[in-house]
Amino acid sequence: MSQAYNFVPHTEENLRAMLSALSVESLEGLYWKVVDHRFAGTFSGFDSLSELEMEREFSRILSGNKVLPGLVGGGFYRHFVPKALNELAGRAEFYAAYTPYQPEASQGTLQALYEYQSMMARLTAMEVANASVYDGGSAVFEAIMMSLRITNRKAVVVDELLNPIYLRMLNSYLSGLDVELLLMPREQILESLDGRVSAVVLQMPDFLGNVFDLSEFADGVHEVGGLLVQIFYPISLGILRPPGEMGVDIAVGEGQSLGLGLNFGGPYLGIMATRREFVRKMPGRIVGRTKDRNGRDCYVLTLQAREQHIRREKATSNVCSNESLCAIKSLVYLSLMGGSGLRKVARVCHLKAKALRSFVEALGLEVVTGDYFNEFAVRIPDLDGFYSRALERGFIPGLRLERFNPEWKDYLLVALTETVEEDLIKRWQDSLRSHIRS
Amino acid sequence: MAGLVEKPHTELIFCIPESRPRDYLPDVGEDSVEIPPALLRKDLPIPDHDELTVVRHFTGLSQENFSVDGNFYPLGSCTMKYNPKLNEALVRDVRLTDLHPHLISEGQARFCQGALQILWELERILCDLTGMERFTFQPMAGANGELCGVKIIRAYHEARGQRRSYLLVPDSAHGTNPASATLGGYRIVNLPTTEKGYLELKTLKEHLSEDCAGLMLTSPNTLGLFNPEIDAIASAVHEVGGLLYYDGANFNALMGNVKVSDLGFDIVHLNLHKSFSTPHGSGGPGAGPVGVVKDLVEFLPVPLVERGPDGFYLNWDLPNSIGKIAPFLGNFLVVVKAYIYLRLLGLEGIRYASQVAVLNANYLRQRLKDLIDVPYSGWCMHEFVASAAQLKKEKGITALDIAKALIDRGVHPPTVYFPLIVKEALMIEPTETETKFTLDYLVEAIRDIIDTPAEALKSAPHRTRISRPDEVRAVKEMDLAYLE
Repeated sequence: MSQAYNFVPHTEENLRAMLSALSVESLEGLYWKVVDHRFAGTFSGFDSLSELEMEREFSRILSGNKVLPGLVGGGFYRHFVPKALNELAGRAEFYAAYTPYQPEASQGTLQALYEYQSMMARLTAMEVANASVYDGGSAVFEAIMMSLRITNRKAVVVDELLNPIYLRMLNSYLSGLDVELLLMPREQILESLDGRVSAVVLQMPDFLGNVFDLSEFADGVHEVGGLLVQIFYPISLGILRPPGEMGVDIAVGEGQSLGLGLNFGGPYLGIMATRREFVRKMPGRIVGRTKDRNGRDCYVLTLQAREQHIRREKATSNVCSNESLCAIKSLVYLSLMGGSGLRKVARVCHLKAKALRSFVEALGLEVVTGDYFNEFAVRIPDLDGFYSRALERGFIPGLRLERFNPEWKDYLLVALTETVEEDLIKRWQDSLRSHIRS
Repeated sequence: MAGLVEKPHTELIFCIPESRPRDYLPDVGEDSVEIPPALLRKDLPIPDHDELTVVRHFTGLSQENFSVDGNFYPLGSCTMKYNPKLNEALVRDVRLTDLHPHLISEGQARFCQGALQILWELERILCDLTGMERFTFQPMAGANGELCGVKIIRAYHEARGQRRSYLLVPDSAHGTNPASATLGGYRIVNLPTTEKGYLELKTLKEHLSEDCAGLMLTSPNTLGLFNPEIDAIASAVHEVGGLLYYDGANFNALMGNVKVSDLGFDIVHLNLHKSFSTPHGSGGPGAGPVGVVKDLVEFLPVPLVERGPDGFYLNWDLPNSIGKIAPFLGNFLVVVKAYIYLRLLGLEGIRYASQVAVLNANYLRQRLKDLIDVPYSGWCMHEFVASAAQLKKEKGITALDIAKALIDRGVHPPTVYFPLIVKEALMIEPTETETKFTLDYLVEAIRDIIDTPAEALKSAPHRTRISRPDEVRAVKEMDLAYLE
């Protein structure tokens, strides 16, 4: 079965020459010289496929996936991706390279990551960013750990309206650590602050789509010597006031919307930006600009004394592999769209949401979201009935929220992006109208 | 190189004069926004460029990189094998890239049967290869898998009413091991490597107690050595009630030949971006699925993928689960690439790949040991560590000099100065995807370097656009973002 030897290039002749250089008879003989044969495993096995068969098999498997159009967001959005993006990020010089520990052999990656850091700092109006962590959720965890290192405190106040997925991740990540997580409604946060609080964590827009000013929270938490962490939605920053202009100390976000796709949950991109004074407490790789021996500008991984490969158990984080290629993709996305393109995307998202929101309000339905960007929650009587009839008509009408919180019975979270077609909106409206009448 | 004109792409994207960008979207009219003025953004300092300018900029940057496609990359412990093009091509399918993850939250398994089938089948393959009972695909990298594993260790002991306080880690381990264990709430006890090059049973026993939560180990270890006492080590840890964690960084040496369950391990993470050919992406995304033996399945993150009479579904019913490590099911597209790779090779191919990885490393080691000192005699597995300590003493040539001079010869340097227990270390892992011709070329390149006067090496590399960056200056100036 020669197809099983895919990607091993040795001819019989070369194999024999190499084995004889080692004075061993056979490949198996060599292997079991190195490892005691009593460790030889028994496997049930699985067959190999040729490339031709694999393509067919894969196509059969993917026919089991049905991508329905819909208005599902909830922190993860379908946005337009310029075709040039995947061609550029799909260059093997980027995807088949290792972490840029050897600067002379990696200036492409290093400059791109320096540009990414700069781009994220500009997007968030913060001063510095790292070269990425895994995803938005792990970025929230890392931001909390970072605040603990900066303040030497142990309590963290978290808004209830964070994405529930992040709340579940935080519970898992923080268990076993000496951290007190205080989950509360946003209205109670300011009065709860005292000298034990390391950070206040807010998401804006929050899980229900509310947009609000963070400045008063910044003032409040700074007064007691704590930090403000904001979870942001990158696309919204094409129109919304950025974290850095509202007193935020650590801004984190899920970068999936910046040209990465939905990918059934990953790979995604954890964006992390902060103030310059805190950079030594930040986790993750960081690229810096310097000069080479001939005085040329160049880029290197820097401040590595924070990291696990140097500090081991005393490192700021255990993170090693990050999401470099996703970071580069988001940089390419923002470079292709430009500031004017990002503004337009944000504006289109908002205006589509505005139109649909006034439609549901005109039907007399309760919209529970206040000021909004591109997403709002609406209460629809007998939501499950509406939902299943929509599925029958071939679209997913939004995200049902009861699964996340029993108090949110009949809440549908609806997200609009530039990819939502007018035809879908019309079908959505027709379905809702006939649902309300029945 | 003085007098060379800088290539324009080395200009930062922010410094290239702006041009008219493409407009990728249809117009939306002049309707006014419904956002309070205090929440509106005024300044958005992101430049506009035409598409060709952007394409040229990033194409130019890419050309400044070494990659597996362009260069031999014998980077120890990183398994820089060829990343099959088929993987990249197949995962661009919109049935994957447009598949919404909230189908998982909504329990709408019927719309993602294909995705769940891939996960279910890959889980069976990984269980076969490792001997574990179940796997989770949530961990998004190796270190994330370690943290997940450490949390499972903790949950296991707590379920038994025990609060054990420390984890054992050999001094040759990757830095992520102690860092992950600390983040999981444990104290670290470092175990010294003896002159044999691996952790010995007698050393281990000195540090075992009823307060020990477990041992984190990679096999073969970072010196490329297979520990012949591994089963006795596992028994000793189990005797005090501890668990054995397998760091899969070096699984390329074992796959299809040795089952880690047979070695006594209870928890395993695999680096799909090492053993199973998914690309390293300039530093990520990776994937670090975690497998466990039967007694630990109840602690795995939720949900698990199951198969029932009506197809594949998601199982959230694990009351003792450690919860969620990833927002959904991990770096899914990376996992899909590993699935494609494993289906292409089959068990026979994967076993063969591993054996050839061992052959290639031993062949290189055999040929290099006349040129450069290779401590820890005997056979290696998929990698080995050479030391320039002797060369430094005799000729003034350091591991760094060799590394930089290799760049001029078109080879990405090996991992240098790691593991920390070998002086002037050069850690070499050729992988199974390289030809004999390429391996022989590396030998000749190193011979050529060693024959070069040390002074001529100190300024290497000479053929790259930049050479020997001032890293001290980088730390001092902290120029981390261009904001002007």
